[in-house]
Amino acid sequence: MLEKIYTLSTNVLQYFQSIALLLARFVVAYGFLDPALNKWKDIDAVAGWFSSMGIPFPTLNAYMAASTEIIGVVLLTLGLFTRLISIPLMVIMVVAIATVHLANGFSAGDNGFEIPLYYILFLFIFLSHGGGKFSVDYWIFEKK
Amino acid sequence: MNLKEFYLELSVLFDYFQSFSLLFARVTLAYGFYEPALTKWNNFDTTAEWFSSLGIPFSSFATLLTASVEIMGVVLLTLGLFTRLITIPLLFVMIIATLTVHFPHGFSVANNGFEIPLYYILFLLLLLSHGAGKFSLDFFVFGKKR
Repeated sequence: MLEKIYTLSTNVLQYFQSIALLLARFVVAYGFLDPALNKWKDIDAVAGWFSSMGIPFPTLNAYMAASTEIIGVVLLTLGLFTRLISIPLMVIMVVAIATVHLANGFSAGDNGFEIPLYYILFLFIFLSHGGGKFSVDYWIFEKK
Repeated sequence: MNLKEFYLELSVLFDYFQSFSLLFARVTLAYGFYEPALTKWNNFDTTAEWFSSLGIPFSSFATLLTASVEIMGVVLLTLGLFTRLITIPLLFVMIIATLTVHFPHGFSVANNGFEIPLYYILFLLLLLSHGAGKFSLDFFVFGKKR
């Protein structure tokens, strides 16, 4: 009986998968919007900041990070190449944790690695599950 | 091989990581609920007064309910047992927390805004709809065939 109920509810809840992925994609895209715009506004300052943290080729990397983030905002919103764009975005978050947040501990209140960790988890879910049915990916690649 | 075939091949490869991503999300969420749950149990009366000041009715009962849901959430999310079921009361807890505490402070976590509760709601929705993945008790108890 219990097993039957669980299996039935599982079938119903599967319809919500694409909705959950869509909402998560929008929120992560929104989360990358501010950092991306701030980097583009003053790319030299970002390069200087990167250089001060010991990141090699700071100007190149400032442009790379800013480009990846703004492309990430667009692609995650559309759900286009969702799995592919998740990879460089995860790399950015790992570098951000290693260079900035790790030293501050976990809690977001102390600028710790809590929020970048959540972003890595979301992006890992996008990488492995794709963008769901409400995405351009689905229309281009998966719709028969 | 054209672009379309390449992306489909990649998708098949990345699909193998699904259960890992769900496991990491579950364990992190369980960790996130651990401290709030313990704080509520250790300062039960203070929490009840706080709930009452927020205008939550039956504040002692609500505290008991919230603290129980959170500590059960920690255990069940870690084990991956009844994952989909436990996400529903946890979603309620987070929605009420967002409405009563965080929403008036705006989005940003720096102002105690609803940023982190929103992320929790999204993780819980993802777990509700996807289940716990293969590295869970649910898989052994209910879902070996799927």
